Amino acid sequence: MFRGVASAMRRLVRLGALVLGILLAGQGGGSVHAGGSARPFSFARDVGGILTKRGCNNQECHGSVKGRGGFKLSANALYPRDDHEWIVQGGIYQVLSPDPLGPRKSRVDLKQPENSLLLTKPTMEEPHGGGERLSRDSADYRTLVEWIRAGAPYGREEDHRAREIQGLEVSPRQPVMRAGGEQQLLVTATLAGGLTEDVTDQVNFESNDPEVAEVSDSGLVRARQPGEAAIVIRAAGRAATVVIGVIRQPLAGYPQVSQRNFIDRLVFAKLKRLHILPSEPSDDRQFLRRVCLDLTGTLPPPARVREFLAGDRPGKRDELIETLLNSPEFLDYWTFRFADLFRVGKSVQGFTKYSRLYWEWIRDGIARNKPYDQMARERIAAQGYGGPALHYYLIGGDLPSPQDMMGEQVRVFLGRRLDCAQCHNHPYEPWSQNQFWGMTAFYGQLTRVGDINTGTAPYNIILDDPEGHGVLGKGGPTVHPRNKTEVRPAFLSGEPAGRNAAEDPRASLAEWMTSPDRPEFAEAIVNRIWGRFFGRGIVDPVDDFKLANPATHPDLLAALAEDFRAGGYDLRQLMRRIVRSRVYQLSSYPNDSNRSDRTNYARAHPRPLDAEVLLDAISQVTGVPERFGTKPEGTRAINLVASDMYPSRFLELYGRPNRQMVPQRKVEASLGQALHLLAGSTYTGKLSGKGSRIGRLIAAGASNAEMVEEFYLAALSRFPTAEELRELEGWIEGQDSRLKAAEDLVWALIGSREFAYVH
Amino acid sequence: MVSQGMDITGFRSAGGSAAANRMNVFSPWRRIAGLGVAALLAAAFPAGPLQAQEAAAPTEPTILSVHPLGARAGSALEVEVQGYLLEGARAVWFEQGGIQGRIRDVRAVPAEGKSESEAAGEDKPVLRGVRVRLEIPSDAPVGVHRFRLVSKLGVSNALVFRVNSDVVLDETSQPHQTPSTARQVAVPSVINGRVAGDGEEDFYAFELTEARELRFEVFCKTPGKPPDDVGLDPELTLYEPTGSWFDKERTTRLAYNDDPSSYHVSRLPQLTYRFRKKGRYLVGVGAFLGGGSPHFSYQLRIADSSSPTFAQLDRNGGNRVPVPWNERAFRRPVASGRLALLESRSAVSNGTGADGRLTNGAASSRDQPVRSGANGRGSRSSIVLVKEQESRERAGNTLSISVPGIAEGTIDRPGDVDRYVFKAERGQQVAFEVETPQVGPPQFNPRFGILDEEGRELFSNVYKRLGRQLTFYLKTVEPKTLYTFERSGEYSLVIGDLTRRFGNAGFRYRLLLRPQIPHVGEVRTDTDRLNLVAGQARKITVTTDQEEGYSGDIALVLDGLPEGVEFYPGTEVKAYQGPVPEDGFKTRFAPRSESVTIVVLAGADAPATSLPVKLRLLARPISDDGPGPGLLIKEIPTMVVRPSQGAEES
Repeated sequence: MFRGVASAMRRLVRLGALVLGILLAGQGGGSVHAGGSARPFSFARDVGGILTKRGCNNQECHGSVKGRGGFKLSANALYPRDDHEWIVQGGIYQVLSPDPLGPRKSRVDLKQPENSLLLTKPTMEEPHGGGERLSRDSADYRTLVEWIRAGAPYGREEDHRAREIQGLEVSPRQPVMRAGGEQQLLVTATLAGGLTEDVTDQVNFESNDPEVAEVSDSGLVRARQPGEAAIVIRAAGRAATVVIGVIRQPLAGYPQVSQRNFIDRLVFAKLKRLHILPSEPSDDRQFLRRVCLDLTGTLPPPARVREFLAGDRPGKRDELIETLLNSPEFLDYWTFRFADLFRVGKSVQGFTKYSRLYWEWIRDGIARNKPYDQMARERIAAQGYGGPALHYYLIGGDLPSPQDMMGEQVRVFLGRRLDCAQCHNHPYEPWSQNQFWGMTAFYGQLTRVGDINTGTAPYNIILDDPEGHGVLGKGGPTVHPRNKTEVRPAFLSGEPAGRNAAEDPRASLAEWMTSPDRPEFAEAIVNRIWGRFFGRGIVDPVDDFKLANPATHPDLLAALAEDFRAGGYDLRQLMRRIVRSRVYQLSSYPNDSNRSDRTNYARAHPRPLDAEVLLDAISQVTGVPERFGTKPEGTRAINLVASDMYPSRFLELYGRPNRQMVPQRKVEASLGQALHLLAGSTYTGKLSGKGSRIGRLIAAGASNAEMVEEFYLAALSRFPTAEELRELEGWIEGQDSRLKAAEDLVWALIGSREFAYVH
Repeated sequence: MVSQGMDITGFRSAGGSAAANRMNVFSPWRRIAGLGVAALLAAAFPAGPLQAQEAAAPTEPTILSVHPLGARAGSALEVEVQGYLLEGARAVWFEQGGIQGRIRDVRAVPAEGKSESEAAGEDKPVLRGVRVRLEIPSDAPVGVHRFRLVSKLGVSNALVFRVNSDVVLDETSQPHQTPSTARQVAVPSVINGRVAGDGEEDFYAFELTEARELRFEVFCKTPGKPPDDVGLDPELTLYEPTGSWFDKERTTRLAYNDDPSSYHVSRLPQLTYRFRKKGRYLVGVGAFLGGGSPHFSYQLRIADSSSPTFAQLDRNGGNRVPVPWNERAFRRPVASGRLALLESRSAVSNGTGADGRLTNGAASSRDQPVRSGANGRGSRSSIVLVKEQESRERAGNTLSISVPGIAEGTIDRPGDVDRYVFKAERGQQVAFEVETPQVGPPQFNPRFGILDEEGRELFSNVYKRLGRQLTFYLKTVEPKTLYTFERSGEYSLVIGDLTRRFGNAGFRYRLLLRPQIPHVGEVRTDTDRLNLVAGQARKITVTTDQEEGYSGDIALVLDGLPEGVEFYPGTEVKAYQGPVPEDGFKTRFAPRSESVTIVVLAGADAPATSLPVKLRLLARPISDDGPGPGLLIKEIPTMVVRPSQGAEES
């Protein structure tokens, strides 16, 4: 059914495209022939398009960083001028120099076009590592021969602009297919002046998960098994994605699901489209434990669990959410979370007070509910002597390089990873090396004033100075590493920075990055926070927004970002929206329709506790606090200012990051964790240490049943089932030592997945 | 004994009997051959090689802490002083006098888990506690009083004891290391305490019956250089015992002391906080990073925010502690009287101290009348103070100042820049000195630039040079800058905050433009005490700064030598530190410095001293026109000891 409609649409659009046709211009680029009508020649479209469709310029082939076999093309024909030069003039590309390596030899033979390397290689007339990409009887081959015969022109810029693809539309936009079904995709390009053109046969299709859906060279999708797959469509200079949903079978009579806010509306709408039923709402015990850990990183104490489970007021969940959002534990936990993101670590140079000042700035921001865009501006543009300014010392040995500082801020605040573009144009994304260095130039003036070894200025002050940091005495402007020219500050959009940037470049950058007109800033943070509450970002990994990694719920992402912007970048309000939604409060128990779904939030997925939270939880349940160096007894792991100053086998095993780079926590279970569970001091030494909960219960004369119940409430935030209680009571009674039995009970509880996960 | 090759113009030769020759002089700028001195010393002190000034383990009496740290004037109390090599401690020596101390006993302080006898039997320095009975007269000046202990091995380093005008509460034996066990105190209060162990935080609770603004201050010995590096880096935290849904005992942190200034400028925290409602609150005193020690004694003061600070109380308390000359500090006063002070440190002065009287410019008043100098540089009585006015500034009027002259203003908002114009002649040598009377670096970093008539910046007070690691330029904002104008004309002076991001009413500056006055700058020595073993020698290394082209000699004098003690010039071979990196316009921002060594010898028959004497280190600028005044650099407590003879008296 899907295929038939799409084919009809495709035929209609083709009618327009056929009027244009494809033929090549004469020398110098001018007249073009197409089925009797002319259209201007564009190297980018007509030659670059073939190279893109045939996969010649993808990142595995000549579009990779250094190219392949000495032949370099820009990915997706993003930089056609460069491509034309490397094809027509030849030469071997060098990453760090604009000059070719060795003598240049053209890849086209104007006298004998068929003998051109550009043709003999992909047709395998000569050995070609990429295999056969072109057959001699294909239209594309003929097009290339004609182009070479015509003198291999670049064409006129105005013609290029007229035919430049400015956008791609894929139809259908959100296809949902039954496993085993087929769907033809139709790709329409938008050109200058609003013209559209069917380019389905000029693009390259690629599935990011062929196990779910595979796609042919012509854009025919075959659904294989339930799930979602993104099809990446690459045209000359542009790319787009379409997410294919594959279902097992449509649900008859999809029920009405109640909604609390726009999050529910958008998530449930997609679930309905995918014929996936959400799980039931979580029960109070699941909700209580989940929301306490997510908002405060703290387990609810047994008395509060009893109280909450006993209550039946309709609004008790919302009341609890408000209590938690305003609790000191919330402040502790989210200071920890942002200390992670903003990288409060021990200073390489031993400036431990700098770490503290930086941490205090974060804590103050959370305490005052400082608008997030303000926090971002303060961190990006910081000058002088204070927490955000001094953070530049904490993320590098002295001052990090300008490119590192810029790359980190973009990753943290815009969720993009530009690192690749430092040395070359980004192979997958439309980030050029020029853009990278334009952004870097905003940091080119960052320097420090002060000398801790002198009496007159024993401190460090951060500021922007036109002389720059003066590495090795060179100082001065930012220099492009490839062409060795001075780079002026320019935003990622390519727009040059205004005059204000000369005086205060990072302030200009901060304004640009946090501008309400720029959706990336708000999207990046709402995605991070969302990922924290669901274990998976709408874009995941949360700081890797890119074409090949599309949002699972673009509408939801946009709506959350807009709501966040409209609400004044209020982090608490964002969290409130999320945890009050029905989606967040769904049970983790699956139903038949959502059992295999991982990406659509149809149910809660168990998430492992982060190392620090887990350690604090163990201390809380056992009643025996952890001791971190000389810190006061009872200091929680989440409250350590520079956590990496305190060696901890447990924290290392469970994935504490060192914050020397943007933290990415490892969540995989490991053999080391298993061994630590068996014999590690955290699991064994805390069971009945000084002041332990076991000791207090025994001293208070608690019965076995009371003891079991207390530990279930403390560790799992629920009462033991009747069966659990009966079996455990009997087991304890059967042991020689009640203390030992209690220790075993606690050890089993804190070693369980139910304890170590949010669920 | 006469040192060879020395110019001792106007003074008696070094050497001879110390008793007959208490003022000995030599000139470091007329070098003597190192080999010659070495041979001389080898011949003179065959049994006594030069001792290193600093050693890993203490070789002299060393005191680490005193507890309690202070008391009220007019009270008597017992304190314990802990340290090393205090066996046979026999006296407490207060440098300013007034307070009387009597040693009660000395005990070995056992390490954790060890008995006193075990501690005493170990083959390493034993920590000892000396119980001292102190009598503080009711008229004892309020403030810090430096004291030392005296044992058979000599005089110890100095610690401070604080005399308060208020009642001082001593630490109780009741635990108060948790919010629930916090010690109840009144407001105002001064409390002696001690962060005695790792992870310890002392809690004090107080009740407020109404909204109120209070100031909290901690005074303590802060970490210093080895070997007596034991000191507390305190943290001050305010809490409200709010409880939480999770924990009814939970406190909510209201404020934390460690604002940026406390690290580099002072480690003594201050915290002013406005409590918006009545109620019960807590203040906690702990150590940065949680480290604790029996030596971490402190005084906590809780008072109304309008009351004077510890520092203000000290200044007003009458306890005049000599302040060393500070040539380059943003807090030094640069008022009109500074010219006279500088002249008093030059070889040719207007007479102040030229008769040999001792001076210490740092203690002089801020605004002395300026008189005409005797050096031909003209009258300076016409220094004009120009005060910046925002209204004029907004109207685009630029203020004029003269040389000498003082510009005074405030960078009262971010981006504020003040402008002045002044005239300078070709070849005129001008010194620009900046003072920040209220908020200074690192918060307010006054940067000024001098622009010519075309608006080009000729120079600024940012000193840029290549660091020794050769990886980047070091840049510092300097409080003093020298410049010689190449052309006559009108120049502009533009001053603002370095970053242009900050500004408020506390960002006050005072900028002095004056002729350069060649003079003796800072004279420094690390020697804090001298314990001379009879028949052995010690050396004192002295570094002298020559400011603004000072080219005369600087004679160094040790005055007040005990009987049987003499001193000699010495030399020291410094380790090669590699090539000197590019040091920029160093002469514009830094003085010329030289270090010399003075060797102090106690003769084999020098009688032991029972109490320290104050050996005075003096510097005297000397030129062809004659000597300048004697500048008191430091008073060094000195003893002659004979350890093998026990606690002998003399």
